[in-house]
Amino acid sequence: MGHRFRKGQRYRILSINKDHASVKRLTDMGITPECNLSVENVAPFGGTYIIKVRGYRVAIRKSDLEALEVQALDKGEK
Amino acid sequence: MAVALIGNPNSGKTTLFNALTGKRQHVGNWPGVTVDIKEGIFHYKGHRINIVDLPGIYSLDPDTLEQRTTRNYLTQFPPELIINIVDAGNLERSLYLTMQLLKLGRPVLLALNMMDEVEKAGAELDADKLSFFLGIPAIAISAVKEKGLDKLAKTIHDAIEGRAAPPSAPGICISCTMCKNTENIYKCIEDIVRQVYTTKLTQKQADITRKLDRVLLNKWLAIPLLLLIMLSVFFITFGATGWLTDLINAFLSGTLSPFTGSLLSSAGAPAWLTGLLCSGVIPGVGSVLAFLPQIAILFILTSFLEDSGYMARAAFIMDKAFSKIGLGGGAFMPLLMGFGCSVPAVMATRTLPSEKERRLTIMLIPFMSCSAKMPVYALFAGAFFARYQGLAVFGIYFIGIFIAVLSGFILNKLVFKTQKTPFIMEIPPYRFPTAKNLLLHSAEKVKGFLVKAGTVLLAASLVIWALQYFTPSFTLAANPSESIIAFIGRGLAPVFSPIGLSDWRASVALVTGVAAKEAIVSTLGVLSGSGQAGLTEVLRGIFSPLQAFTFMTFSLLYIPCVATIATIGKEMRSVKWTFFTVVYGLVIAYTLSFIIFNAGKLLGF
Repeated sequence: MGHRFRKGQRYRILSINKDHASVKRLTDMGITPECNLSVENVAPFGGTYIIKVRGYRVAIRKSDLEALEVQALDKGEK
Repeated sequence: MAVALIGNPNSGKTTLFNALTGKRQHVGNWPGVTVDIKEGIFHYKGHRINIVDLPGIYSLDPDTLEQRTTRNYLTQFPPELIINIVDAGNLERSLYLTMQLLKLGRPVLLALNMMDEVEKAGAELDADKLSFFLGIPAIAISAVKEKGLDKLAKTIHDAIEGRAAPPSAPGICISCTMCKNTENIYKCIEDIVRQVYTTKLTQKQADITRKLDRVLLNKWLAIPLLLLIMLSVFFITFGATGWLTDLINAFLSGTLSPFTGSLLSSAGAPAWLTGLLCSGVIPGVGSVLAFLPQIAILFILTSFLEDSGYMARAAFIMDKAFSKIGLGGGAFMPLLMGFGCSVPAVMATRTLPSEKERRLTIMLIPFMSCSAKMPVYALFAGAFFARYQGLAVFGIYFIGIFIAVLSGFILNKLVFKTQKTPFIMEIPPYRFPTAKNLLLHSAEKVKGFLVKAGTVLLAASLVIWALQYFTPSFTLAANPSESIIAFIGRGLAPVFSPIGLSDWRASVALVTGVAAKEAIVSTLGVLSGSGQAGLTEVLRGIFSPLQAFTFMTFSLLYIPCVATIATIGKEMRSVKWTFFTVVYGLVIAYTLSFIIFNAGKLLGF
């Protein structure tokens, strides 16, 4: 946990913390293990991101992203 | 039994509903425009088919109120046919709901919307193949461009008549058990999408969105641009339409009123009737109608921002600030709608994930100065702060926002005590708003405003006029200051004196303002017995500039109008909370007005 999400970086979702309050909403929105996400924008004061996942954009708070265990991907890596 | 339209938020359900039924429900480019159930009738070859537009949901086990609405509807009134509308450019996430719908055992029809965008992006979607996999009909459409609707209509008709095609499609998904496990649903979907959807690399649409976001959501530019955009809306609304207001006023008091007067007197009508029309109805309703252009422009501009997709981004930009007062950025939209009208704004809180967040947002909405209060500011600012009109009105709006933020902070600390609120909100791609939709939305608001003028404001004007026509002993009042209404107004004076509003006309206007905020202006119009030109003179006689500003502040913050109170009652589902909201506003309004008036006096204004 405690990943720092950086703008322009792609990540692979490894797993999701089943005890986190936002699990259901994340699943409903297609933010699930084994899929990739990229950080498109960071809000002016930080704390909220726009990520691209499954081909669409979603705004999400850092505290909600903390439910995810992710691994940063290198450029070009699928 | 009916046909139900179901799909993700912002997938175009309402656009399709409007296209099929010929109705004119409001649509916008942000998730959650539809928060309640809308019904319509769709005609096809002499058949009348009931069609129900439900709020958007992402899944069938939803956690917000409006998503529960959809779910409850489905279990209580199992529809004859479910039309599952999906954003064809966003298949992977959209089909998650489809998979859940398939398990309900009701016939489902897939409407693949926004096919025009898919084609524009250089992608291809094989609807027949998708239909083959899912075992349900799948029709490619574009609800905005009204493409593919004939085929969709025919398929809906056939499905209801029991001549649907399912037997020909094996429906691999229905027999497959892999997706029984939630974790596997997305794997199944990915497999299907891989086989039906092919992208080429020219994603034009996505590129435009990315380019625009690079500027509009830039770390340093985002907030200045947001302020600039909001200020532009504000100054265009007030600055560009003043001449139209003057024109309407000139017509009403300079032409219509004398014309009606001479017409009536030449027809031998009694003096009271002439008085009723020329010093009751025309100044009362007319003083408010004069601000119609502002209302129309305001809604055209805000619809433009909504439809373009910018408003959803504004919620994202403001999210950090909202997290400080225990709200998610999702509360931004209802609060913003509050600048239009509190009633739909309060209803829009249904999209919020928790009850606490809903209640807090509802309590803050009345501080967002609604468009019905605009005539009050425009009138007073024009009469007292002519040179700094824009600044004075901006100051009032700013006070409203400041009070909302402060209240949010205090209420969250003392009453709601929320800690971590989730915020997960879809951000749509930028789309160019259609002129049709902008005009439609604006016309709808103007119509609502006219209806209000013809009912509530007309009635209020008539009552006020009658109350100033008679004395408390029901003889004709020689002078309005001897009338029933003056008597009532003077009775209220001790209450309003500490905040500098001791004139009976001011207190009466504030009381009638509870019926509808525009009634503040129409009441003053009737009580001055003249059109706006005369009204300005009368007001200058009643108020000092300091009192005028205090009056504007009090009007901004005090009790919401009856329609809003009723809606708050319905949405809070609690008398206690509704009462608390109303009293809270009143206390804040009184306290702040007291401070402004007395501090202003000390400073020598």
